[in-house]
Amino acid sequence: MKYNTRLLHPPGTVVNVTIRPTRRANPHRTLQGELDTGADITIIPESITIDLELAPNEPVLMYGYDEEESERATYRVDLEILGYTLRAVRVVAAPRATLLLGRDVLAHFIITLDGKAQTFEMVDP
Amino acid sequence: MAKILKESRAVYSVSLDKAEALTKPVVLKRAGRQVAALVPIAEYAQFVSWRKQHRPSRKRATKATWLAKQERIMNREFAAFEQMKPALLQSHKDKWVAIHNGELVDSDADDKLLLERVDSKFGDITMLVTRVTETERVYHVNSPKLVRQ
Repeated sequence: MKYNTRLLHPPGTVVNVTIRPTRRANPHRTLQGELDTGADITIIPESITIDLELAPNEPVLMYGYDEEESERATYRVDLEILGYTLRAVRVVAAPRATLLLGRDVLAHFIITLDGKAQTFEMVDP
Repeated sequence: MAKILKESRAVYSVSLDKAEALTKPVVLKRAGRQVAALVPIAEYAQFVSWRKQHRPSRKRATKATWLAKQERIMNREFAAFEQMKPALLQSHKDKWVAIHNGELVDSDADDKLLLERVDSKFGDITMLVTRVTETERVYHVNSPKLVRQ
């Protein structure tokens, strides 16, 4: 797969992710997810929590790159990535347009990056 | 003493150049004040479409109300969990627990197994499922993002 040049600058790794409330087939939304090895946990856009009527779970403390602290609710969702489904993934909602796939999700895949060719592979072993 | 106000019956006569009314808005005035505008039908159709797009949908407002209610429930369950935490640290340390109506209803070392169980037992309801740990789990998102100018 090629790096995304429209969403990210410099170009980066983006995959389509379908997000569903845990154990419900519908409603669902498909959006672009950035692969982010700097994120401990996966982050979904806040608007999705309303669209999919996601019930909040316990709040967690989050720190950004500048160590700014915020408290955010967690949610449980099923994520479908490249045909693979991860069940009951614990995610955090934040005011952003795209999804950030954190290391909690990336750990389920073998990901190979070729920065020079701006291509990557992502497979579930 | 109440006053009775009467408005004179006025007949308004508007003379329009047909071509003008079809191409640009015509502002109607009354006593020198602008009171209405007559717009070409295409422009009106555009406005109706814009208004439909920008009006907050009732469905979304209902969903937001539902979400606020779930947040209240979760805050209540979390407050109950905080109260129970010293005892849970003795009995369920590092386990996942499910709190419903302020009570511990189930626990497991595996969060997904616990979720499946409480889901089949209670259905699709808002319930706190959290891990009993001494220190609060903190998450870092270390990726700054450049905004393209």
